Amino acid sequence: MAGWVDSRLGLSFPLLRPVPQFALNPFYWLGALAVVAFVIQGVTGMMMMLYYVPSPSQAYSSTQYIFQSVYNGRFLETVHLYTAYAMIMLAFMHMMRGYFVSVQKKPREVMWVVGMLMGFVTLGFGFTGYLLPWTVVSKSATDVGIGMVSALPPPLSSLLTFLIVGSGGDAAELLRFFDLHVVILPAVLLILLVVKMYMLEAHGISEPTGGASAPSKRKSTPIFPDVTMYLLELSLLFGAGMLLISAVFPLGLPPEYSAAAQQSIPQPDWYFLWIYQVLKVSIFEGPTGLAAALSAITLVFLALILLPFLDRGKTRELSRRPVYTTLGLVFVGEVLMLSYWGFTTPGITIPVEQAVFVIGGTALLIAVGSLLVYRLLYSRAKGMLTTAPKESLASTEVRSGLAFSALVAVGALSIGLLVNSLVGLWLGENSLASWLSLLGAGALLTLDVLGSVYLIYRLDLRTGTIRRRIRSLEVGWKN
Amino acid sequence: MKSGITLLTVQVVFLVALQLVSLVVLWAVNPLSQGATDTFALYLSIDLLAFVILSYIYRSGRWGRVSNQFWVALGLLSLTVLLVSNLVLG
Repeated sequence: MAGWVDSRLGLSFPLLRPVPQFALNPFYWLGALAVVAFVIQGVTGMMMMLYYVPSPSQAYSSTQYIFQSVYNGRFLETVHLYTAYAMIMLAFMHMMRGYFVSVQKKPREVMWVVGMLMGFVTLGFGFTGYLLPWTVVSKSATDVGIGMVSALPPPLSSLLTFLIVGSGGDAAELLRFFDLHVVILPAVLLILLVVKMYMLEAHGISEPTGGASAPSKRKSTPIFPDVTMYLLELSLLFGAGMLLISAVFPLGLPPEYSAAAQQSIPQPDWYFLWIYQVLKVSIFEGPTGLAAALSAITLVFLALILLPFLDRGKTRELSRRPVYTTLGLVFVGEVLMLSYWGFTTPGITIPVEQAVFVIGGTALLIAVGSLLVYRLLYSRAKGMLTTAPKESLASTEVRSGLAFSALVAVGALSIGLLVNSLVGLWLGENSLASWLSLLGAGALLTLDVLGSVYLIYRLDLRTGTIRRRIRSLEVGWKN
Repeated sequence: MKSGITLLTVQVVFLVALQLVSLVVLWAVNPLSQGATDTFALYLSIDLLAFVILSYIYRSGRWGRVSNQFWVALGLLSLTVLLVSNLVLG
């Protein structure tokens, strides 16, 4: 029976290559999980589409109907939203993991560019989907976004305005956003996904940064059923997490948009908060300032897209890419810090001096910290690294990866908070909250530094260098 | 062409099918009111988590390894906590 099914359906046809053992690690599957999130959104979105009406007069009431009257409607809405958030988060983590382990290097340059385009489409999903419930929050924030688009240079602004707003007016705008969200963007994402999957099959999965891994780790595992089961486990664990979050933090529907309610402070969703915070700096007020800010942000995005053509070095190891690793850490730190800052200061214009100190201070502290680590540890261990066992640098191990990500996130946030509190105190905000914030940030940063030292000691770069040095120092001291 | 499907493959397919059926049943017989969708989501997450543990134990055996008892214990503890909290909340 099984043979008959296989011969008719061609299940054992080698469409997808076997996966090496080293890739059976959640960090290799962040992109796949983002696709799983996309599928969940597709399913929940199609169910909601049965009831949703994309017109200004009925968008809110139909959303409310889904919430209140459709069987499990609120569940669908909540899962759809949180999975969208997870998709954006996973796409960002996938990108940064790729950045730190240099997956963009030869021969995967085009794969990186396609992946970046997929990231932008994912952000496009967030931007277009945010407007659809037609709430006061979503409409105000989207209008700000559309206003930003019109500040771009003439050919780009008119093209983008036509694409996202249409002939003008609320009805055309909502319809365009709906069409983009449910037809155009999914189609573009699927095409890009097919292209990326094709290239993945052509080039194979990128090896760990330490170079060729141990023979046991290179052993191939068939896609079906082994890798399929592994991915299914990850996907279901992810699904269970999403359901738990949906149950613990159920979604509420904000008030409906109306012209009178337009006075509320517009604030974008969390994934655009870092851009929002940059635009709130006083120097970027007015058309010229806005154009300058948008140009700077566009340059950051362009640098990310063209990264494989900028970072031309052949080495992929973190230990030999101090500049690009530091730049990556600064980028993650700034995004986290600006997002948090934007969340806590809605609608407040940031004085340029404060922005310079906080943004510059955060970048400086992260850069100095990162380069110090290189100076003190990596450069001394360099000789050992070249002769280290091939399975060196535990970057592919789950716990090390998780610890590294957590330390980067906590470190960036604490540095941002610390600098922000110091600047606040310097500018005269001499309140108990400011001192408590300073104290908390200092404590958090101390914990982060201690955690980093512990992690580096535990990792030991897999060479034994640090541990041996410490041991020899201890012996010398005793003698 | 030699068939790539073995008894183990059939077992995997059976497990997946069983889980899909249980999901559909859970969805179809949901007796909860509109306000109790959170409880429904919790039950569904319990269902998924249970399958993950089952699959992990099975996969470890298939790969000739002993499943990591820490992860299994953590999964079972999570299931218990979810179930108890669900019953208390319900």
